[in-house]
Amino acid sequence: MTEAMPLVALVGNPNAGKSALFNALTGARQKIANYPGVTVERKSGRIALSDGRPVELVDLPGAYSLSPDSLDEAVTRDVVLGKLEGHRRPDALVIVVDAGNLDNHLRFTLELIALGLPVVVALNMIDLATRDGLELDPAKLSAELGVPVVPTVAVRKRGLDVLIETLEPQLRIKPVAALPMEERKILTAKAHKIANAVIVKETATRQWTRTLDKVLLHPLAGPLILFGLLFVMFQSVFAWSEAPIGWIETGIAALSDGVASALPNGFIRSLLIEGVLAGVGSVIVFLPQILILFLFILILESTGYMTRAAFVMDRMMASVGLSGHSFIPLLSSFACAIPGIMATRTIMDQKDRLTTILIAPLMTCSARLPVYTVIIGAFIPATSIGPGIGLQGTVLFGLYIAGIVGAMVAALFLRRTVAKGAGSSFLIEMPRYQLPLIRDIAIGLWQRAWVFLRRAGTIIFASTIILWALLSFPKVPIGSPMTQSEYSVAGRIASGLAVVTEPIGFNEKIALALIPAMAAREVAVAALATAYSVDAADEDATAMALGDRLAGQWSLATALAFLAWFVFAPQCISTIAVAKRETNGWKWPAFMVTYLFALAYVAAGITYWTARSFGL
Amino acid sequence: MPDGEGHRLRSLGLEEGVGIEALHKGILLWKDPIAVRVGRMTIALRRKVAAAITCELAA
Repeated sequence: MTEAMPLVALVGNPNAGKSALFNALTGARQKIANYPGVTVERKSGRIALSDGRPVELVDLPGAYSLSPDSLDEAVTRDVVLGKLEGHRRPDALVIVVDAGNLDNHLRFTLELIALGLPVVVALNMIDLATRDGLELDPAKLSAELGVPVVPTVAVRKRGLDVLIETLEPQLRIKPVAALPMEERKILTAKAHKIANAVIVKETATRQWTRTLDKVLLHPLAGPLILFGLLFVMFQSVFAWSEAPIGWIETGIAALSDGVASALPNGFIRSLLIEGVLAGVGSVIVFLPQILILFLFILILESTGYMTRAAFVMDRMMASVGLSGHSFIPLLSSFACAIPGIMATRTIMDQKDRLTTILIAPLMTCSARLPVYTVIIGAFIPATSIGPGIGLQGTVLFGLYIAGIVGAMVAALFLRRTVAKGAGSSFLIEMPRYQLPLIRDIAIGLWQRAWVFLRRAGTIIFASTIILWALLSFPKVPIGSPMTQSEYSVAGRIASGLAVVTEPIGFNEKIALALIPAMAAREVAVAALATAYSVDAADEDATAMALGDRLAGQWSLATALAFLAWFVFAPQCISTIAVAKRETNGWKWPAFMVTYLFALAYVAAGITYWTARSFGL
Repeated sequence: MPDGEGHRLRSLGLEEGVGIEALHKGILLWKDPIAVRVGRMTIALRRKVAAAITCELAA
């Protein structure tokens, strides 16, 4: 019988550089899953010992102690205690401490050592400590703690070989019984004593973090810089993505032509071109925009600026009953509500957290961009309304603002009704500034791209094909006054739905597109593309861009109502599913879906009838 | 101040007897939140919570 691969857990305070160490040790070969029973992300990877034996390394969520304040911290505690059902207890721990913050990090280290598991301490970010004028004695720390200590600089890959060498003998040691938990006060005193003993020399140096904070947290300059950054971020999403989107479009068109010339006219060719390429292709083009948005978020996070942004936003969020903690999840929700909702786990107050989850879908996620871009491109003239300000861009900006305002009003309302509780709170550690590491950003971006492509390859692919089939059969008899899409199975379902959607200006094809858009919003575009191309009589018409085709068939009032609908509609099953997991039940996701659909219906209706009254 | 908050403050190093230094105060016209230096860390918190902490002026 072969022995199971040893499991080693990386554990430490938040901001100790744990993830950087994990990335440096495992490289891009990481597996992301969830811990059994909870949605906390579990990152694991493999490292090889000097004799080539593999070891599984798992990156536990950052924690301050074994008495958890949040769901993340609870997972860390349960794993190291071996109490998480369905997850084995690690054979050894690598405790990551920030060399520049020993007083605080050693308390958790002492708690962990007392558990009796074999341990190696990684004295991380030793270069930053030196930069800040601290001189430390690692041998002394090792003697005081009674465990091996290895100085590391994760971002420069320094000390990693020694760390693995030191870990090796620890894997042969059996865990011993845990010592009784000591009182927090005693642990703190011990931690301070050890920290003081280990610091050889401390010289005052210029501290970059302080200098930067003077500007970035300045009462006036701080918010100006934050809003400037956000403006550049959203501007870049459009400006930088133009070229790559063009390449993808050209590629898809070439593929479509290739299929058309290689296959005879018939079932397979129709499925490939009208179903797969028209559907999936119209979604893949948005990958560049999604990646640019995530690039900014990853950089803001890894430099340490994100907590400053939370600081700047806290008071404004407090006016609707939230706190700066909600800013980070809500900003992530502009890329996608799913990581946004998962990021709410760091919010300690449960009512705060619930409110943030309920309003996260109102932030304009990247899946809405395909819908907005197509409709705006088709119906809003590309005229200039001022120097450098286009009408199309302004409408898009207005849609983002509509989502934010909607979210703020909803938060205000929710905090006074269903999510009533003690006032929100704000309490956060602000880490030192760091230069982001290209490798860490690249790994983060690759993981997001993969998640998106997998979605496009599975959910979007499947729903596009099903929709194509429903639209293509049964075939309309020759000479019938009905079009193919009206005659098909899907058309018959849609004409039933249209009874409900006609009062808000949505025709049958729109009603039809809204069904598969439940799988993912961007499918609405794919669905409209498929619905209209199934009806196209000849090759030329198939090649016609969706926008041009819609411009000929929809009134402006309908187009605007369609946009208004998507500002509010909770059209994404994955978001609903993640809300269910994060709130432990169907009650809140059901509430979320109901209130968002009601908002969407009312908003679309008001938009439609207002536009109609202006004769649009 | 809720219990959870006291626990969190201690986790962040705000213990009895620790030295603190005020760094930043508020955004725009608001005087909230504030940032303080605790040991070697910078902590952001709201005034309401900060008011529950007793401090003395260092000599």
